[in-house]
Amino acid sequence: MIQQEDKELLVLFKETANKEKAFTAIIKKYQEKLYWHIRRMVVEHEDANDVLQNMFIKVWNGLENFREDSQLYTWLYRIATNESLTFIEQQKRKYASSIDEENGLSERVVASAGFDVKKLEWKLQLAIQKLPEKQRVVFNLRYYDEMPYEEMSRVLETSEGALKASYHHAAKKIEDFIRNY
Amino acid sequence: MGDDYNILNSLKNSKSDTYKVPNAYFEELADSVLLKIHSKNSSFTIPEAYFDGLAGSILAKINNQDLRNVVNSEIKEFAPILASLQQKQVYKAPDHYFNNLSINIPVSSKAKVVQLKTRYTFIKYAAAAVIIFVIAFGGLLNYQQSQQSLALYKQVKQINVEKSINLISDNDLNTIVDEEQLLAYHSTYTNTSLPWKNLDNLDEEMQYVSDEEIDAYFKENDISIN
Repeated sequence: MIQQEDKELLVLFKETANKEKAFTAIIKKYQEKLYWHIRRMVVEHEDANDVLQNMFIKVWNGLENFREDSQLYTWLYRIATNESLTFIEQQKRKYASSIDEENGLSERVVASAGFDVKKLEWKLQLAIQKLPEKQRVVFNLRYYDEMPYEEMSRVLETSEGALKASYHHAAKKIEDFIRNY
Repeated sequence: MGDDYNILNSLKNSKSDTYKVPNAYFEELADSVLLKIHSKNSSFTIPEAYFDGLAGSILAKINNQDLRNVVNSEIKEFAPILASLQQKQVYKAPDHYFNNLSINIPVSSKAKVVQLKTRYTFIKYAAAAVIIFVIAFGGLLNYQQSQQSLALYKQVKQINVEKSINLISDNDLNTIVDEEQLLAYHSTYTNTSLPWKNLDNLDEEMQYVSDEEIDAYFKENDISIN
């Protein structure tokens, strides 16, 4: 199936008769990328599903007023990032008295199906959870989503230079963690 | 000789009759060929506007490949182990999750624009508290040094935080935070740090200040927050 252009979908969304059809097409087009972006942040599938559902509800609510001077793709990533960070923030508050959320996320990685501490790819996941959360976002967007810095700059409203430095620091920290773990 | 001529002549006359074609064969030939061409292709279907988007999708794949090469060579330079992992995915989504994903849209949902930088009310109050603190502290120092500061001190004491916040627009408040004027004391941060980092650290540091301490501070300085 040929994916429709975003602009075309946005036009359809503004027509009452085609609104749901266009929205479904947007979900189908971006669901996997956004799911994995969220999943890498919150670790567990159930949480990722909740965050994804919430973010698409926000998209539905905000799409009518979406300013077409920015790309839909960028906007969706921005909402997904915000929703993930908000979720983590809520978890922190919820469990503030019992666990540190940074460790909480690491524990979730350890509890994941197929976890094997000897495998590099799992060490990588543990290392990612040790990063400050916004550095984690930058690392995931570049390493996994291969997002150009220019685009990432629009998603995170941060200068390209700062993003490059952040990615470099994050990758170095992860590399050190993997070597010494 | 005369017989031979007669034979050739009669053959010549009968040449067109040796082979026959169906009636109107040549009139219908083009149509029948086209029909066969179409019927040959009709067993395959292509998505609507497939060829319209084909060039674009091929170019997008080429660009993605180029970008992948850039990302890979970039990480090879400073993190070779990460480069060797090649973005291997360890988490798994349930089977058919993406096929069955449906979003339950609330019927009476109101439109709301989502901003990237979530401005917690807490930050506003923290910013306001710092402003008040700076003003109040300055006022107190001046009071000790000079009787002239008495009027200013009284003014500061009467400041109502809620009213003050209302006087400052959200944009101005955000600008203050963005420009890091409130965080100037964090001189250890380099220019390459993400602006978020400073906000993160402010959050972390404020975690160690209890609500009681903040309340006590406000009471001590006769500041009311509603």
